[in-house]
Amino acid sequence: MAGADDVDKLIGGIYEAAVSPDRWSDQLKLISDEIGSAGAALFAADAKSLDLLFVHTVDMPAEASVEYDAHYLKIDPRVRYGLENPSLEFVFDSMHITDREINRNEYYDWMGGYGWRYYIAGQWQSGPSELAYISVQRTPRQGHVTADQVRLFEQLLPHVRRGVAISRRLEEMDRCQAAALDAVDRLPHGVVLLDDHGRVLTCNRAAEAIFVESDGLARSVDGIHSAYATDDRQLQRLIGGALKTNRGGTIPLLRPSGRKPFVLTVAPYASDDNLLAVVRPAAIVMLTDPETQPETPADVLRNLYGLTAREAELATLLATGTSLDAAADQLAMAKETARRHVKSLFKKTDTRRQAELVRLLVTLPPVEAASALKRKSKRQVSP
Amino acid sequence: MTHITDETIADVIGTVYDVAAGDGDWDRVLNPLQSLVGASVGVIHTPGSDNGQTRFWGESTLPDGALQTYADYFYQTDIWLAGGVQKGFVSLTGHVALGQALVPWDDFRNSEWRNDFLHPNGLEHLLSLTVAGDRDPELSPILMALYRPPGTETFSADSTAAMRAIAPHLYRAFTVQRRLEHLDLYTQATQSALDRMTYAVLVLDASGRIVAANRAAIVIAGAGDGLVVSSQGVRCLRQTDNRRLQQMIHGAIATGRGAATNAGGVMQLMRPSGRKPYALTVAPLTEHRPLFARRRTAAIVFISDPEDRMETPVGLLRRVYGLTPREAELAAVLATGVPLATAADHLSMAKETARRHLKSVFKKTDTQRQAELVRLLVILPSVSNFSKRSP
Repeated sequence: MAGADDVDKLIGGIYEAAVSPDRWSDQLKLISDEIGSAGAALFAADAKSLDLLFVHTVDMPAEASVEYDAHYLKIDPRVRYGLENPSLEFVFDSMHITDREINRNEYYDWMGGYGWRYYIAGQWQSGPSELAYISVQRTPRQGHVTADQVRLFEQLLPHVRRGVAISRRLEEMDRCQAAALDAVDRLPHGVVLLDDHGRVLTCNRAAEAIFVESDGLARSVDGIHSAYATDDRQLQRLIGGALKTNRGGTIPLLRPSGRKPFVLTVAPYASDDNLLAVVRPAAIVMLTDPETQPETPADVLRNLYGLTAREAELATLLATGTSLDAAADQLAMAKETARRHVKSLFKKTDTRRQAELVRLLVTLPPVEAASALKRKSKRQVSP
Repeated sequence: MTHITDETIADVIGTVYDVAAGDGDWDRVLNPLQSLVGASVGVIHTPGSDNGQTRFWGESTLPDGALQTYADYFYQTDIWLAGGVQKGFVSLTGHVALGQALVPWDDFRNSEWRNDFLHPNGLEHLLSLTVAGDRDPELSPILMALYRPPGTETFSADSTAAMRAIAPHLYRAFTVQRRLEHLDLYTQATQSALDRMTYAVLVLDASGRIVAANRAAIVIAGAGDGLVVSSQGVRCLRQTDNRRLQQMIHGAIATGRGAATNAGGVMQLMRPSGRKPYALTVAPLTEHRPLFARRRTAAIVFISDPEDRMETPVGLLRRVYGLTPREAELAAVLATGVPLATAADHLSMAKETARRHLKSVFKKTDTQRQAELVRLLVILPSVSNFSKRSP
């Protein structure tokens, strides 16, 4: 039987799995070995439909989980007994079935095919209309669980319940963060989070692109800097102000390339003072490159407004502010043709002037090319 | 004092994680810990440093006002803390020490710390634990102190052993709390950037239900102009539009799952009000394989309203481009796409004056044509709104 040190290790391991969920299988294995079993599962089912919501197994063939989900969960007498007795924290065979009944039961017959006969399972309500189980399967030779094994199992249960709840909560919040980051990554503006010393915590893709371009604006270990001394002084004063006095602001930043200056806005981001975190976001920086070409590809405009290929090409150029004559030249299009195309595309986009068209196209929501998506899927989002 | 058993320790360990994943109310841990080791008072804190006061994470059964006098003054007389710093104990995560190991009796007996702070508050013996050392890369330094009153025995070997058993759990629990805090902070900061965007952002789960929405999305939902946004998802009032939208959403969700390669799509949505149609894009969200979650994020929807008259703030134009007040006003009106004559009328400005102002605006903003100027001015607003609103 398990000594106090072993139990302590098991409990510690459960919480390790709680914070690094990929370790649940290992923990399940340790628990299953300590109790004495030939396979274990940690799973949850919808309380009404009895559909499997998640399942982690150890020493159980994958097809067993598939069959269980497809059919046997619905007729599982163990689950049924648990549902009828929701106040029970754990259940095992002799609480609800005799050996003679086991011999004639469809569910137990299926289990027998995998070499299992007996079990002990913990059950708890893990969410609204959601039941979770941890169960270990035993061979006929291992026999019914002993009183000591039941006691050990009972000792571990509250920690398993809590561990699963912690894993879930972390996963849930990870997911929210990943979704928010994903959205921010698709914005045409640069977004940078700074800590309370002005150091860069995270930046989105647009901001990264601006730093990579190194056209007068760079990120270094101690924050964001302009290549021009005067601009940099202003920038540091602005950031310092946001961090210390809670006042943000906007400034233009010159570029050695002679292109239109970046426009940078800093806003303070207040967070609760009483936090454990050593580093935390204290300001948000938004970066705009006025010369970024609109990312809306011509084929998107064709889809959106039913433009012809030539009209879409022309629209894309006009959206950058290029004059009609210059655009026609670039597209090797006769002026007369260009004028005809413009008329048609004004009509299709419900605009009357180039300024209006520009406004419409510049405010279009971000569209992502399929290639960019692939690149992104490799990116790891972690706390 | 209760007898210390493995079961009672396991109970305390359970509470430690409950608090970390729950409300972070560490007082709830101190109570059972105190009864476990027979302490009358317990405190969990981060010692004050150059850039901050002492921070208390939990406190149990200290007399009223004791924390305040400590934070205000007595922290300077805390020779136990000074001893722990000097001996390097505050850097050793998991280190358990008794008061007498921190300061020799002779130094302790007649100290201001003992006579003016500990005794008046009914404290004499200390059992301390460095929950997180002061060189921890992730956590602020955290110390736990359990006290017994004068006239009692010092803490037993059993008590220090129990503390050692609980120490790694306390540390891990604080890292859990920190991770939750961290995720929450970054999500909210990111969300606040999204809230300042002029287009609506909606995040959908695998069944098309809305998981998250930014401020602009709430505005569009409230307008009810051809688009219905509810907890059930997004749909259009017009059937043909709706069919297209649902196809796009399903395509994006299937792509996120790897079951299709449709990168989403883009469409116009007609509005019953007769205003310019919304432009909407749908894109798949890359799915991370969830271990426990029921709902997973699967697609993202952006919606822009071409008639959303984002005002180009005049103040911003003056600051960023050095425009005069009249020039800035003119530029802001032109940014809506109207011709110069209309803008001049609107501002009761002579056409000739308007033309002169525009020339100067072109020069200062480094643009040559109105279309180019509009482009610049339209790109700016979302950023400037950003500085106006406070989080």
